[in-house]
Amino acid sequence: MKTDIKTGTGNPIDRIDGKLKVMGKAKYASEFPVENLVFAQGLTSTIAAGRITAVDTSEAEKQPGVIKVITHKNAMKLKTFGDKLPQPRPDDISPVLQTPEIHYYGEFIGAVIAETFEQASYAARLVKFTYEEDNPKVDFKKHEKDAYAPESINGGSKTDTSWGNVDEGMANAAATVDVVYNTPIEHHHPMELHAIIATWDGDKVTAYLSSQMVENSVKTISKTFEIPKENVRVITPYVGGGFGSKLQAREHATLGIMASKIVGRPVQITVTRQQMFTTVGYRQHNKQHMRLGADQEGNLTALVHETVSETSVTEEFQEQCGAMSRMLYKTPNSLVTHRLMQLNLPSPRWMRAPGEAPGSFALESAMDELAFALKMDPVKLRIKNDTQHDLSVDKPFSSRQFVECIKMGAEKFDWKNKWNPEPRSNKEGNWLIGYGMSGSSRKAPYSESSAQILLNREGDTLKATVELDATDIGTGSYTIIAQTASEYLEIPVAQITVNLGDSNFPVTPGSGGSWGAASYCNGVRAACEAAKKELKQKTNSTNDESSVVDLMKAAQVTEYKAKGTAKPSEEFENHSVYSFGANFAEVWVDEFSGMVRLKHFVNVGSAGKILNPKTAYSQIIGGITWGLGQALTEHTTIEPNHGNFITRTLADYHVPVNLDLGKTDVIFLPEDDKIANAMGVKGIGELGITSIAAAIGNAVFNATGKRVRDLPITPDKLIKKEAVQSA
Amino acid sequence: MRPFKYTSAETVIAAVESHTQDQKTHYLGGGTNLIDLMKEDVERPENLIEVADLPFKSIEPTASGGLSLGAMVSNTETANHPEVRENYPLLSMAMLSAATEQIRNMATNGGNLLQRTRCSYFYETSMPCNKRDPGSGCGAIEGVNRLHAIFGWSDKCVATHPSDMCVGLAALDATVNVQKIDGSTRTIPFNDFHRLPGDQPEKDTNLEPGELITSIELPKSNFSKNYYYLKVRERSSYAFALVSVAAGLDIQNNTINDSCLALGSVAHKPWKLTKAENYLAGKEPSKEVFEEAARIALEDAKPLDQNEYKVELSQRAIVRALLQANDRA
Repeated sequence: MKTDIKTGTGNPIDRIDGKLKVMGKAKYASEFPVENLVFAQGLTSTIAAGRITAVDTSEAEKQPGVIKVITHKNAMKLKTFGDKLPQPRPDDISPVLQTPEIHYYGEFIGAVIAETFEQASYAARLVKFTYEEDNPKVDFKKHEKDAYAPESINGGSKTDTSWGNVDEGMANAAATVDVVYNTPIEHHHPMELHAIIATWDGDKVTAYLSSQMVENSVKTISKTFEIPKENVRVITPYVGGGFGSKLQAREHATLGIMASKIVGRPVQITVTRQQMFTTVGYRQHNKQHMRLGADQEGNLTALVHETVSETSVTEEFQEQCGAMSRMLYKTPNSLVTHRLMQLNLPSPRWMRAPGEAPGSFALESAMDELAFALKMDPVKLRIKNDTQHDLSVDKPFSSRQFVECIKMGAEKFDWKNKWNPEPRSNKEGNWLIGYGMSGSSRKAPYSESSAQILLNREGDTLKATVELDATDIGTGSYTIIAQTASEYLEIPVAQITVNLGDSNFPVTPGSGGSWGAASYCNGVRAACEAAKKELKQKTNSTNDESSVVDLMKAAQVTEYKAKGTAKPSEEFENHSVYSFGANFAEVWVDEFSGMVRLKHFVNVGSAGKILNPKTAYSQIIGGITWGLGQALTEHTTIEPNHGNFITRTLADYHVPVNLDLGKTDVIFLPEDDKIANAMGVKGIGELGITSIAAAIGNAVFNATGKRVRDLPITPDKLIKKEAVQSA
Repeated sequence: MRPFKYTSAETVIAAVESHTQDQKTHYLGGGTNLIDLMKEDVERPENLIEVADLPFKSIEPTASGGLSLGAMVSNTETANHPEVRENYPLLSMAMLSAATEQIRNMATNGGNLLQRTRCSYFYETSMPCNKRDPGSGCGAIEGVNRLHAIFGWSDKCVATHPSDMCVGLAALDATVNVQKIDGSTRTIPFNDFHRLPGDQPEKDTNLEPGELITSIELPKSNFSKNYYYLKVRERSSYAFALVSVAAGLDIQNNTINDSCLALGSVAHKPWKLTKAENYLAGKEPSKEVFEEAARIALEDAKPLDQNEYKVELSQRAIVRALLQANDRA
């Protein structure tokens, strides 16, 4: 008999792991009690280009408790990329200490292993490296002319795409925009520092590793140390934030595993906050040249998005800044390109919404500039250029409620009555008040995912344990997985145990790229459905109303195990599957000081079935906060003469504080998209940050008449004496 | 962190006597800056003398009608003290704009005066910095200096003093009482307490080795009605100022009888604006008068490559702070 258990998907229940976390009982990678544990402190380069000519470890080795100092001189020989310039993949090798060459400031060049953390970190200061220093190449402007077209860009995206003739489109336009936007280097800083505890048992490795992707970490470790995959166990039950920085077992993981091999004891290594600026990726500087044209009615006649970015000399990484420009609007003429230069900087990598986060700032600011040039409502301009067909790949969208999101947001925000096209038309005391909006989209990826369930029946009561190698990076995976099982097993969440983050469990794609929730919840669904189907067969039941506990009773079993796997359908492959959204911002700008305050923000998303409105709301709030940081405060500065990041602590690198975020409304539109996947779930992690900065920047323009095209919009840029635009 | 010897001083005499009068010994107050600097390997003391328990823990009226702030009183307690809020709200406002509640709970008044610059070159031990490592050069002059000084810098150092409290104290003409190593005491006018970098940027203050701050004295103030502390920063809390202004006006019959004005984050020390204060005396408060005061205040500014904006921003901030102070009545 079906009963409403009120904890299935769609219910805003509290996090099932919340209590553990606030009580400090949720164990993170560096906290596992491992016997005989020793501590490693990583050493990093203090030049940006050159080579190590000598190492003096004598002073460090004399210190009490010091067990070993490892550098390139005595490191394990590992597989390397050789002369090939690799594009980063989260399952690829992660070599470290294989050469005396220095490629960037802050590169791992050694480790000190000692009995205690304090001994290791003290002795680390006593290791002396002598360098032969080359002039580092770190000047973006100077080396821009060397930018080349990589074969492909992040995630296998095409480097260049085009259709129609953009020159004609621009020439025939009634209004055009031709501007350059710069988004600076930005850093993700998950609260939990990257860490590993590594142990060897013969030729088997166990790694307690803060990781977003268990399976890929296993592959990286196996390939790097050339041991069978079966010999690697990765455990990561709780992860204190990832944002893309924990997609791969990075060099610190290799360092920890290597150190453990060398000293023959379990080794813990925690990457310091300062080291996290250089060793776990960041968002690259993107210079984006936008050219847009439209006819008198606002129909786009051309859309050109040309991006130049920097990568390191060790890896070729370019985020797909033009991704949104390729598919969000209907344009007869399109050109999207990506170019890359190599600098002596750490490798940029994946950071929350790679591509969309910076790309949406350029596209959605340019759309605002176009609306202004056309003297048109930016809401109307976007609606005018909607398309239900993805022109970039010639596929229909599986669902697209872009216009509905914009309309809902406009209504909630009262855009019609608030917005005035004339900048500086709204003032209260010293504050200039402005309104801005933006549209957003993000691919809703979905991939194969498995899970197993163990069912236990006591009389009429069913308890279930769900196991899979998915990760909870703070998003609420435990909770939505329990809710999925609750729904398909028809028992309350309180009777469900969820075990995650262990490579002994069935494989999932982990958390990242907004594919987690959709993929692994469908895997859990498949396992629950498999159990039910098998039990029905076992009991020859034809009653579709029978619950799992009924079937177990009929089969006279008290225990049952089942496994299931979900994978994308052919229909999925034949469609463009995306989430869509709209943002509306009200900012107040202090005319004297140029300080900007976000007073009100409305975010509307259409992202399939929302598994848990409460955790989803939190995730969007986090995304908005990221977008706010991108818009107003976050920027990493390169030291021009030495090549290091001079912003090297969270005191220099400003993420927003609570007080920066004003009133925030988050709305999810109902959406039933079974093409996306059987449960109709789409990710929201990256949608949450997409186009936030553009909405804020557009509002700042509306408030001040000043268009700041180089993020972040800090007070110094707003008080510059320059022409104020008027409608 | 490097190993160090820790002692907790129970008496003032014990504290100053255990000081070795050199770079190797530091007094420890709340530790909110010193401990960070030790973790970063910037400060490398061999001896720490904890002075937080010494009996300078009260806030009391002085015989001359002012107020004495004990050196070991926390920033939180000071900023929220009834006497401070009533008679020196400008100081309270400045202090509450600093850091975070948690840091203010730990930080002491004496320690606040002795906090060191947040210049990134000072913090990053692989970079040249004359303040941290005399003779190694100044990385910021030819490097990243967006947040650095526009007044009083030298070719050896362009760092700024980070304190908000000190901007308020400079504006209010406070004095600093110190205990000397021989047991005697001396009083230092606030403007003479911090130094300009000159040829010795490693010296932030004019304290002699071993001297211990015991209290900060505020003179009787007429700025409890018309005052404002404006801190321009990149986020609403927990950020050092791009520039800050402490402004107080003593207005009698629509005439500025007296004023106090100081800028923060523009120099190696809190930047008292005496010329602008003198200009304001006797004027009728108006936006035009405030703009002229701001112009005078920035006359001598010498911006670096990347901080030209601070000149304009300081002027705007001064005008705004004075307007706010004036409007308060």
